[in-house]
Amino acid sequence: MDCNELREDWINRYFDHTLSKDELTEFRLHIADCSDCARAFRVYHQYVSYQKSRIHYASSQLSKDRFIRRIKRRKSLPYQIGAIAATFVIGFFGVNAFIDIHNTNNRYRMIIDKSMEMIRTSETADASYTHLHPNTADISINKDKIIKLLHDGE
Amino acid sequence: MIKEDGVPTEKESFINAQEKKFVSALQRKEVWAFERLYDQYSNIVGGIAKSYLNVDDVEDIVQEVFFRVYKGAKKFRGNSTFSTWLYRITVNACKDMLKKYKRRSEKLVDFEEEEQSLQFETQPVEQDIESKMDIDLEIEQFREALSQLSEEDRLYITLRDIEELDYQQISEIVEKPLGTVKSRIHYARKRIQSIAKGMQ
Repeated sequence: MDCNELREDWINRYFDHTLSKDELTEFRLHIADCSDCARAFRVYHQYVSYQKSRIHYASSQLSKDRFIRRIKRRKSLPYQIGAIAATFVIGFFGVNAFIDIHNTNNRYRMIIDKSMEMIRTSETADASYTHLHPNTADISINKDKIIKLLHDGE
Repeated sequence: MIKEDGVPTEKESFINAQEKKFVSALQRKEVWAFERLYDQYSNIVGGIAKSYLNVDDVEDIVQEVFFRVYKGAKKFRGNSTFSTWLYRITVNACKDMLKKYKRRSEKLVDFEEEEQSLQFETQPVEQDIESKMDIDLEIEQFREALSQLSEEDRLYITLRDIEELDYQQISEIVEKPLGTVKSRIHYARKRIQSIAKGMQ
């Protein structure tokens, strides 16, 4: 094995752990004799050690807690969206129901007002009629009852 | 994980069953599983991110990787080991982060705000590393050599020589053919040696 072969192939195979036992012995003998090859081998070895120390990462409890909080928030997100949607739907239908009741009340009030007006208009006509025909006077009494009932209903 | 005849040993079957249980807990989004995930893998994920991005502060990327796992756990079909899948997510998250930084950096340079674009430079490393090694090169020279390597070369070296993953697993992580991975690692090792040689 020459220096070129060692640097081109054997160092690579050394780090891949694919040198046979005999090759490993030969590799070590060459490294022991040849300072240039030894340096090439050492430099890579040291680079790996340097990089290993440099990229060492120790995560903190704080960052773990941050992550767990984040996933808990995310986990509850569908429920939060559901609650917001339910509030919106209930609110929407509630307002609609309120508007409907309000409109119905107004409609009944209008009907009552119209009825009252019609009764009052007919009272004038009835008075003249009663004056001309005294036997029909009890009709106006019934009208009073109706007006009273309408007021109570209102 | 599996013997040459393809039949897993009792211990391997136990490990596989444990991993399946763990993965299905992740897919059910159970908090205890994510706590275990963080404890077990955050150091390796952080290490890969540090190596790929060549920065020391990788807190955000680690958070992002685990959050991607949370969102995508159901997509894990078991075609590879869980760790391979996780490392692939890590590499992809790093690539995305790098793109984002590059875009931001270009924008900032456009507006002549170079100060902020420098955020992505390598941070100083702990000084005690030097004392741990009988070195041929100075720490500064190693740092210089590191900066001359591409992100991918740094990643290949990290996965192969630091995390000691096999070529097949690396090929699955970086989603490149096995032959390409082997030659890239070979090239990266030679490149480090030649950079170092040029510095001596």
